[in-house]
Amino acid sequence: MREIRYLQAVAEALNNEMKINEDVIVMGEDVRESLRGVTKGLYNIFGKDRVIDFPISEQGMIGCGIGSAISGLRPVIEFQINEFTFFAFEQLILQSQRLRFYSGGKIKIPVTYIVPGSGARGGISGQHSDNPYSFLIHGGMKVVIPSCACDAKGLLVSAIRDNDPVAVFLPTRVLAEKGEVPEEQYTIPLGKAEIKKTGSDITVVATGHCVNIAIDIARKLEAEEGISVEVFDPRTLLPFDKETLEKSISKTGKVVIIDDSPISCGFSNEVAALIGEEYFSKIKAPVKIIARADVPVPFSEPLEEYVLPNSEKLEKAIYMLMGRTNA
Amino acid sequence: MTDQISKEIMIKFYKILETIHIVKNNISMLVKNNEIEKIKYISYGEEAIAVGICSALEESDIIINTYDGISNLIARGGNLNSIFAEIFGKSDGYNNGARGYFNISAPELGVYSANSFSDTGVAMGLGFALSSKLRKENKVIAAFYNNETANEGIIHESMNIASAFDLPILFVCKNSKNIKGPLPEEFLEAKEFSMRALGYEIHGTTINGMDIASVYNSAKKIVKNIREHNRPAILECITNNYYEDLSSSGLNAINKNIFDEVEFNDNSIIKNFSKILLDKSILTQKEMKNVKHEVSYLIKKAIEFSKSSVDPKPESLTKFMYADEYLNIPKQGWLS
Repeated sequence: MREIRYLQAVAEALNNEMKINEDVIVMGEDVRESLRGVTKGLYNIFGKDRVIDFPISEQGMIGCGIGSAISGLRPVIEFQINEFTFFAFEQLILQSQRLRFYSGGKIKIPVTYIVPGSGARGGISGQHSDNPYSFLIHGGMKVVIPSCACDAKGLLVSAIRDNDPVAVFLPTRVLAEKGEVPEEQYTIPLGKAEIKKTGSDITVVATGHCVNIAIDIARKLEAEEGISVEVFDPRTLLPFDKETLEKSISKTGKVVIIDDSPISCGFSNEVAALIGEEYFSKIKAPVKIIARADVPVPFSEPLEEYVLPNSEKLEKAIYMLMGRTNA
Repeated sequence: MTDQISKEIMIKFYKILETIHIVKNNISMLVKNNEIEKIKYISYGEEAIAVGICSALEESDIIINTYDGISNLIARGGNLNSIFAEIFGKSDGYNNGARGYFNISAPELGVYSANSFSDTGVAMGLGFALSSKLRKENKVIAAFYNNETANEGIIHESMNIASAFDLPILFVCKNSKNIKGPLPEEFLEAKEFSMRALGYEIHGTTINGMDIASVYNSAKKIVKNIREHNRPAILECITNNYYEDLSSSGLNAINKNIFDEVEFNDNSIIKNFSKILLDKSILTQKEMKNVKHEVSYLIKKAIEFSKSSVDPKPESLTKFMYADEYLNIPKQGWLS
């Protein structure tokens, strides 16, 4: 099968979906020029009515997306910078996520938010390095974070076709990664995790770019230490596929969670709480969490490394849970 | 101003005004009798804006409400059974009991609400306008906000986008002078809120929002203009609200008189309008009485209907929350 980059897979999914369904429109800041690469070429194909540049006005833009979604369009709204979600938070949660509820289930709001370049990528400091998905999950919004090109294409299509708001986070550290991606349009359902690598000694729950970290460490430890690591990628954080997780835990009895968002009240804690509440009888060791420190991402790169989850921290955690002295 | 309005429309206005007024009186009574809860105050004084603007719109047009959305909903032809069932929090309510008195949405009537914040729904109006423009549906969107939220960033963002994109949207600023706390003028260097239209190169007018004919005639003219030219506009309606305090603390009924000729209380708008109808021999005292009786009867029936309606079931929470359901969401605490 052909290999393309993650970002190309996303762009292809969007392009195809706009061809298939003329209700799909794109809104964002600099989407005609495609500063982020997701909407590359779309303006020339679909024109100004379907590829709409907004002034730097996130609240107004999201509000506009909500109204057009209620009216039957399917807007895909790009946040050029991950922190722009904070600017629009009232519209994202109190309006887009809740209006259906307030209406007693009468209206549908099929809007997709894409956040290309979420997370830190080395030296871009605290206002361009966030992964604000735990906030959105807390607000009840469906959240997707594909870890590879193939997932990115299929999950984005599902997000666009879903009749509720869905936020799709595209981690900056995987955007350039290549992977096998089918040419035809396909879907990967929301709420279905994938075991990215099978193993029998320990389960690593990994999200976004941390999936790659986990796979690399798993291969290394298997070859060097004979530790068999299973890598569980939830792919969608809400809805979360707890059934697949249960199967994995039942087999291994040990869990490390690695997630690149702040640890307190974050996604990693949510998974740990779930395991503690529902699968306590299946685990043989405490759950270990590798997540961000509760501070903004610092500019200094050594400090950034200290704050963020990385392979070294994951390796340590696995050794610790496996009772190895090199922990 | 009333000369331009036909007799039939004047009678229709009167019926809607009476309905809004009697509905509010009944809600107040239900709260005082402890039959319903959770309504802290009832605001009177914006009925003329509701009737005037809703009547100036076409059926296919869209309304984005703020507080006192109930006046707009009734002016739009809202069903009294569904309204009262919602106020009682019952499953037959407009929003199946999910939303309550202040913020009823009725998508079937093009009425969208759900905002306790009287500004943030305005941005949603942009989307309805954009969608109508792209699909050539020729709709006009009336988005309501008020003087106190006129200074929020989202109002300015929305006006700027509406102007830049040539969207068919009417920004209705309800400028209530009768408020506790600082008067709006304290934070307004311009003479009127509508003057901010200048900065966006759109049309802006300020009118007496307690004069139904003035609201209707101005709105009709502006709405026609918006529909023809796809240009947004601001219509600022000055009112003198009267709040009936239904809470044990907090708001008191405050009553400052901004219009010299009107001594204001909860039924001044209707009193003034009735006087015009009598003077012009459009309706007699007896005919008005009949209207009141008829409306009161329908409301009584609606209240009976609502009391017999069942409470919404916890199972409906999932359907309220998500159009496309998935396993395990929403989590429901001890149930999951």
